[in-house]
Amino acid sequence: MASLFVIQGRDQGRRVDLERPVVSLGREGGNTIQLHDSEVSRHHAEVRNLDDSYLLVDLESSNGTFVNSESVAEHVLQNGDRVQIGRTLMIFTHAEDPAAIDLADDVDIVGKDRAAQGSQIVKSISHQEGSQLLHGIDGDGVDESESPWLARARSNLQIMYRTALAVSHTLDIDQLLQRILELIFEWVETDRGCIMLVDQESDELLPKVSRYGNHVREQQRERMKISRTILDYVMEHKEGVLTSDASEDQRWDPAASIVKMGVREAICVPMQGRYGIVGVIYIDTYTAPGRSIQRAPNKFSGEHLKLMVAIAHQAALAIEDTSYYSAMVQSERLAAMGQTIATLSHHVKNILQGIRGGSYLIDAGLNSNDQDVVRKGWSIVEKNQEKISNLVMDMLSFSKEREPDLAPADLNEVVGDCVELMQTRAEEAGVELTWEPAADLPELLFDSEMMHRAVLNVITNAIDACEKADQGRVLVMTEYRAAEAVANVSVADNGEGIAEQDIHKIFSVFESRKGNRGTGLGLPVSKKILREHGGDILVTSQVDVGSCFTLEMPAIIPEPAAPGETLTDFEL
Amino acid sequence: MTLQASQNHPSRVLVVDKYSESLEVLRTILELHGVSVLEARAADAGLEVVRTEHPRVVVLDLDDASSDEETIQSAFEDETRRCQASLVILGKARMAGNANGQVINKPYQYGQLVRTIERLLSR
Repeated sequence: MASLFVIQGRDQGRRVDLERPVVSLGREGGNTIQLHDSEVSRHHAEVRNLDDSYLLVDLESSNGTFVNSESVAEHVLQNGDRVQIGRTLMIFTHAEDPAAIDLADDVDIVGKDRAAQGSQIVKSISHQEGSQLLHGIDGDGVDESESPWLARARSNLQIMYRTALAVSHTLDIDQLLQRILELIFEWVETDRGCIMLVDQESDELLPKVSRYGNHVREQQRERMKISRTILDYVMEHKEGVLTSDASEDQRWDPAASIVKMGVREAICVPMQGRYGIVGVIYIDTYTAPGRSIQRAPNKFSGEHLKLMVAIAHQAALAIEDTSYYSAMVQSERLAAMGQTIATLSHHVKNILQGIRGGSYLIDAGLNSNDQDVVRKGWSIVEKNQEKISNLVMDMLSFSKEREPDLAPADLNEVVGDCVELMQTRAEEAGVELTWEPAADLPELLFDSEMMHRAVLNVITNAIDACEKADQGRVLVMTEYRAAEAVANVSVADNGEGIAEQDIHKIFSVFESRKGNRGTGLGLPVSKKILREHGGDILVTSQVDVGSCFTLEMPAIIPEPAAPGETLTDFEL
Repeated sequence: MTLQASQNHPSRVLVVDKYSESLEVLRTILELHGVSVLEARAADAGLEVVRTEHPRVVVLDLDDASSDEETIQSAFEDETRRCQASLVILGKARMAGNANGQVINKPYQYGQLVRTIERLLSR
């Protein structure tokens, strides 16, 4: 399915599947994709689905439509194209034909006999050894005989290598920026530094991290003031700048803030990403107010500027990746939440409908003095009360991780209670429900309340599975395997069975196979409860023959109570 | 409250509902009013009943997310039109150009549904 995913702008994180023949984009509410962007026209563009391709058409918008930074009137979209309208940037994705991308078919892994292959390993190198390329010959120092050019190249490579390591695998942008600034302070002898990012709402640069060099004494530190003159220059020209003496630099007006603030040297570079500038990195040396200006050798060079540009680019790419990844996660989270709410609403609506039906019958029965109708209505109301109660309990069980409240309990008693509770429902469904408790089952440590829920869900499921069977039968058994320290509850039915390819789905949330009757929570909740007990649910099934669910849990025998330890020993 | 049966046809209502209690509720209520209720739990079976039993009104619960709702709705619209029966759809379907049909959104009030059936039977 082709889709447009908004990666920049106020609608960031929104994904729209291009399902319709024509998908319109614009500021007005009537569009398929309404964009909250003042630079987008009311009816800006549309995407037309032409068999296997998607044609983007600009609808004579005021600010134009851009694909990969090129203005277009019409453009057939390719997977990965960046579509920009107004300040909104979107990525077009379209899954390729699976047959066309099965590149693994081109690769074979052949036998282990190297000699027979006529090749041999002539050299091998470890990761540590390979990394020494970035250090000196001896791993730490620098080879004295090395040319200055090579030494500088090696040093630069080392800086970029460390930058690449610093920006990789982070999902916390603040942490990433902090790391980048620390690295810069290691390489450049600078007084102050700051990283600012462009705010997507206001388009303004907002400071994110700042720091002073360790050599700057505490009393010389003050709230950092960054020159807007230099920031504006960098943002406008999209290039890094180095100024060695701001007061003598032709680019700065003597009255400009950079000069007035005592900045001696500064480097400011744009953080150029794939899709634009995401921020700037700024460092400077300065003369604190009240201190006399002294001539000092320059600390910043063109080499520093080049490196800073490269570092800023790496950081910008990482920020974009992190930002888009976060937006995607947020989008998936919202979609999952929407799906959950829709599914639960559907169940609640059906339960409400049942309660209304039962109430209507009660009312009609009372009006006509017909006790049978009243009873029938009351029975429907009761059933739906039970349904809502089960739904709420399942939701609670599923929504939080909790440790089972282990206490000595009789598993036969818990399962027997479930069977008793389900007898009426089984009779109504024409299902024979049989219970065979294990005679040798000792008292065990488990959470009886949770286990009750788990067993009840599985028995309910088994009865429902027998709906279409001529003579539905459900057999519930307990078993104790002392040697393996395992206790289990098995629930076998002769219902419709589950196809092998569907068995893995039955424990997925909201994957009910029972239509309106099932919430899709019962079996996932039961499995969760068993797993929280250190056990699991095993399923065997055959279509048109039936299924057997085995709830298996570790059989933990409670420690015998210490002599004399009775209730009377407790102080109240 | 009395439901009027047609002079020519028995007062028969078909309820097509896969699971919910509305089937039981409707059967009980309609039978109290002397209406004969036919039941079908699947769309295919329901269409067969429409063809063979010619009910005056068909009540179709169309709110099962797993079903192909549009196809089922279309099949019932065609069949009820052919058999000159009225169609009441329970769910969020849209019905265009069918004077004999009506959609009642869920959750609905049974009083409203019964009154609708009563009106359709009295035509």
